[in-house]
Amino acid sequence: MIELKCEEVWREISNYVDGEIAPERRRQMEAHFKVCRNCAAVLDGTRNVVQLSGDGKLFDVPKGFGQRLYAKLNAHLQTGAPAHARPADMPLGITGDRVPLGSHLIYFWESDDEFASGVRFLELGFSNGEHCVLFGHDEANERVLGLLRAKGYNVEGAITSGMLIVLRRESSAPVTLGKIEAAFAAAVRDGAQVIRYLGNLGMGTAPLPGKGADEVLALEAGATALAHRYPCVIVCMYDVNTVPGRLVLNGGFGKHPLAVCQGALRENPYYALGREPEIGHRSIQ
Amino acid sequence: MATQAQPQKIEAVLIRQVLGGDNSAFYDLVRPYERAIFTAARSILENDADAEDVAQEAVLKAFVNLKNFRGDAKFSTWLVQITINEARMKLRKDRRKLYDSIDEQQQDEQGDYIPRDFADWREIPSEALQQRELRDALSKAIAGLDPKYREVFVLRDVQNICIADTAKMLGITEASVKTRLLRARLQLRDALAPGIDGSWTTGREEYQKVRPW
Repeated sequence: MIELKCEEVWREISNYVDGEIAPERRRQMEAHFKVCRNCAAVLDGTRNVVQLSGDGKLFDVPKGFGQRLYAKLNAHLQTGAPAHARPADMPLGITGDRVPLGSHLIYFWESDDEFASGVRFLELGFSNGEHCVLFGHDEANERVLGLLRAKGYNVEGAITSGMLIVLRRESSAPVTLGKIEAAFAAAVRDGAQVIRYLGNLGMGTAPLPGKGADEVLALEAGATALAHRYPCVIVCMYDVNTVPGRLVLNGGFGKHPLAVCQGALRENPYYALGREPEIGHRSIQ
Repeated sequence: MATQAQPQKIEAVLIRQVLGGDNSAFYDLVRPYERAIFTAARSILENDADAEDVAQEAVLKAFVNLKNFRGDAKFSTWLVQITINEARMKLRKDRRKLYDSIDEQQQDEQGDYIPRDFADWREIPSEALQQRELRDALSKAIAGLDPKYREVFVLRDVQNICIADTAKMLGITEASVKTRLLRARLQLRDALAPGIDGSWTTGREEYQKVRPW
């Protein structure tokens, strides 16, 4: 018994070839093809057209097309038309300010709320799809990651995809700096336009690295130099409850060109006084 | 270079590099789709030279507008979309008439298409499908299709692009893709049907006798 007319079969024959058809209609058509030689011929002919067209041999791309394809683009680039410009700054998140790439910034915090405000810097990175690097001792890192998770960010996914790199504190400043630089280089290789770096000092059972304050000072001096070589902003969070006064003075104030104190971003007048003549953060063109 | 591994992730990286100022990454981004760009342009335009001109323009437009590319579509879909828009614009300019006119839209998909004959292809051995004359005949038949059928057919059946992406590239509904595809396929089948008494396997002379197009 033929349930479908030939006209109905032809209307659906293309969808039948593509498998874009309801099971019941497919069954009816299969039954029709068994008994209708004409429609079966149309089906086979249609399939042959599809098979023949899709084997990649039909259209010849003209010789040399691959080179000529970029002619207009090359001409455009040679006229000095503006390329896609690298961003020059980024929103800080801790305050409402934007800071130039290359900035190395100190953020003093005291209360839990102030700590959470510091983590806002990384939150913006997560929501903007930017590469982030987190550095500190395990307790500090866990506290930051916990806050990010609580805000609903997929911390584990970001670590797996390389969008977030978590670094543990190492015993010596050169080793630590090497790891930070490797993380920055990896982010740039991955196409990062900007990198957000958040480091923590203080709090917990071992607020300072093994060799203490001198190690931190060497690290901070190196970080300022590093910030100038990568499209990054480095934010250092100091817990003023546990970081010794000597480090607040010589590290926090002495090594950071910018400072956030009491909710305001300021140029830091105490930065590296008399020690580094080429002082001052610069923005990357 | 995009490979089969995770093309979209690698493409996302290349796009970030271009937007970050690394122009050279753009060439790696486009290279896998050179053939797709040409074929899309050629499906709308009548000759290779026009298709090449449009392809070059499309590559430049894609570069300039890359910052507007949203990750929710495939890069290849977006690139072919730009190419098709450029090709249609060129066609309009050259012919001084609306290519995709309202009339055409309304007439589209009206009435059933009735196959012209019912030549049975099942007898044809697969090596016959390799024959050059059959391939040439198909190219010619595709060129003879109405443009709105031809562009759907080329994207879907020549480039093997799925129905959803074909619809996106052409800016038409999936239902329209399916209906136009049906028309195109049946018309091509008709153009190639060797006739009940003929066969592709019996050589050029006889083939000419059966279908002297």
